[in-house]
Amino acid sequence: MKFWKSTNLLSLLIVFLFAFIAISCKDSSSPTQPQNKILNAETIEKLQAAADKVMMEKAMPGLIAYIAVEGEGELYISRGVGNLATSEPMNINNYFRVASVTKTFTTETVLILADEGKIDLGKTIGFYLPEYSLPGKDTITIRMLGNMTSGLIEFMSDPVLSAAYYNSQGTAKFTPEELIAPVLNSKLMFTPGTHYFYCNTNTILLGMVIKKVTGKEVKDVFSEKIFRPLGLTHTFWPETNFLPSPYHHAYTNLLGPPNADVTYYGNSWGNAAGILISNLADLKIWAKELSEMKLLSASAKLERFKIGSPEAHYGFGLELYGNLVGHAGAIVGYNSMVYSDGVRKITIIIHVNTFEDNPAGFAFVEFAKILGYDLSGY
Amino acid sequence: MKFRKFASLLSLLIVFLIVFISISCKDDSSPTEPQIKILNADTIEKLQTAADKVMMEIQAPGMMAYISVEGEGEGIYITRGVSNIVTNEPMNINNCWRIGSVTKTIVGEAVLILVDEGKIDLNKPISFYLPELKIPSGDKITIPMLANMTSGLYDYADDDWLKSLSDSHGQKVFTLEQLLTGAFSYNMRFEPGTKYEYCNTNYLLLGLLITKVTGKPVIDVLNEKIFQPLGMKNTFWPNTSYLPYPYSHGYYLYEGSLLDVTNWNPSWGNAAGILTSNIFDMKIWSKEMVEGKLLSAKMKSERFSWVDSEIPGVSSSGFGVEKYGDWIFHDGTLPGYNTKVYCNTVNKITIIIYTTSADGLPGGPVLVAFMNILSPLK
Repeated sequence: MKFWKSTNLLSLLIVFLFAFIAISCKDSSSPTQPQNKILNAETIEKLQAAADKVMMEKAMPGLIAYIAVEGEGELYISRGVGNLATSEPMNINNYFRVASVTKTFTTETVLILADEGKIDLGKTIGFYLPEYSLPGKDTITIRMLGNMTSGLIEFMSDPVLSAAYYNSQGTAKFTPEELIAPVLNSKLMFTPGTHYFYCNTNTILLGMVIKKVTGKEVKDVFSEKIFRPLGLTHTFWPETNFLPSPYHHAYTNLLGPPNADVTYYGNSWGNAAGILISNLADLKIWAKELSEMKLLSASAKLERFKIGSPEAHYGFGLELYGNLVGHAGAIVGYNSMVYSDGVRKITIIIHVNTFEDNPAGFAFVEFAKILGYDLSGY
Repeated sequence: MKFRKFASLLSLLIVFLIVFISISCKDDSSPTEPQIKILNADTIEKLQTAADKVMMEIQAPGMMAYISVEGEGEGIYITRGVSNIVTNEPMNINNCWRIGSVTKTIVGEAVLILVDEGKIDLNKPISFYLPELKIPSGDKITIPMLANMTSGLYDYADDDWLKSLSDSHGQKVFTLEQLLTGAFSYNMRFEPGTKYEYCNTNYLLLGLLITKVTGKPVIDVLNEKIFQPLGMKNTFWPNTSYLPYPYSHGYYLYEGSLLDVTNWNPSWGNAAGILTSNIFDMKIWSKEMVEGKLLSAKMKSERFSWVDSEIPGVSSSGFGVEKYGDWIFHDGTLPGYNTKVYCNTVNKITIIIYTTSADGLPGGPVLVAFMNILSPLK
């Protein structure tokens, strides 16, 4: 009797709730609604099946992904394990190293500082950092550093630096000055501005320019110009080789033994080109900013999308696949893809806890295909 | 039936209402209600945010802290990170850890209790009690000189014990004779009583003194005179490499390798730093450390008779405790463990911090972050 009564009350409540939802839905709905939905049950099923498929086809311990269509809903996917020792499942709340996705933060900061009149994209690196004997310093512009056409060599290929990094189990710390040391007095690979060559050196230098013109540490400028305005409370520039919890472990076969645990390989040598730690909750906000660019002026938005060389679909620190824009990140043990489409309002974020053979990129192509993107031309 | 249910609900509501009214009445009438001036909701939020931030800056996988203000409730516990980097088990406030040199504060108090009991005479030199050890300048070094770090003896912990410990994967067991013979083979650092220099050797001698005058192992005396009267049930003198359960793992970055040093044998610490404890016992102890309830008025003033320490005029050293501004404190530092027990004698603030690594003394930045919010150092 008592039970019956409470269920009665409950059902009444539910009816009210439904009525309320129906009303509010009606209020905001457009006439083209449910039939044209992208993220419908069928798509979701296909995405889930694709996640199973990539797990089978690429060797990866675990995968997490976030797929959303604005106004339709969001989908979180997780597969596999975040810890091979304990078999703890992969968790969508985990923190991880975003690697080169950091470049999108550095380049956005440069564009914000350009909007503030503190950086002129057309001025040369020699103008901002005259104290370094960089090759081509009087012809390489800030713009060329952003769109990867500087012609500078890759510092991470330097045998001494990479030995220092790997031999210390990733615990070695580097200043930006130490990182660009192998580039000083080196030879340019090509005349600046004539070719595309993706290279971490460029973004390290942009970090040094940010520090030079603001007088602040790059991480503090990130906080002030990006993290706080966008409410990114889970994105950090780590000073150590540890991650905030919860986090998953990262694995590699690169070092010899299979599935070596490289979680605590800190990414000090990534610096402004790849040091940040974040999670899906923050990256979904950031992915949207990459296509919507709310922090940028109209002219800075144009800069962001302007490619430097027809050899690559790469703007100012941004990969451009039509309207789907974003950046990939890969560092030993960590592989991420962070993209959004400002026209179709679609976001795709993928993270995998190993990086050999670009597993996140593989999953990205699969997911994008289901969502109607043909990336075969890229 | 229905009515009865309704009636009982109504009566419940009335009871709630009465309770609520009585609480709110109490709130604005009674002057004895705790007045939260420092540790309010705003401060607590700031402390939590500071903990997040500082975890990214310190070299430690995990951290726990206890913060309280006398008369403002029970205080708060903060945990961050993990207690085990293999399993990602989160840090837990029930975990015990090695408190290192905080041991000295307890041993110091035990000596003073034995003085109160007439078993030790503070005016006698250490050689009076331990003539067989042939302590350098032993006839000039008084008991207070040992306790307040002005003995001039050589610190055995400066010796190469750490290397031989790590060479044995932490399993080497040191005898008191080995430690003391090493220390006594050096010249006196300075004339006894003329200068402050932190020295672990002093506390090995105080431990031996306790055993000499009581005929019991130091831990039995600590149990009888301090732990039992105060109700500290979680503080132990380990005779093996292991810690009581539950515990956090300790990590140590040694020559480029991240080592789990949890089970490194603590025998080298002896009365200068061997104890394990947990946050609940440290909470009890921090109170006794500044209040000295187990001591006579005379011994209390002995505990807090200060000599200049590292920064003359600013920091000072007492009988097993240290002082900086309004803070009476002691730190504990050993591979894998950094502990801070700080009590502000003016604001009645207690801060206890423990980090799961001592690399770069991570407890320091955590303490400063909390102090800046609660009571900035002038």
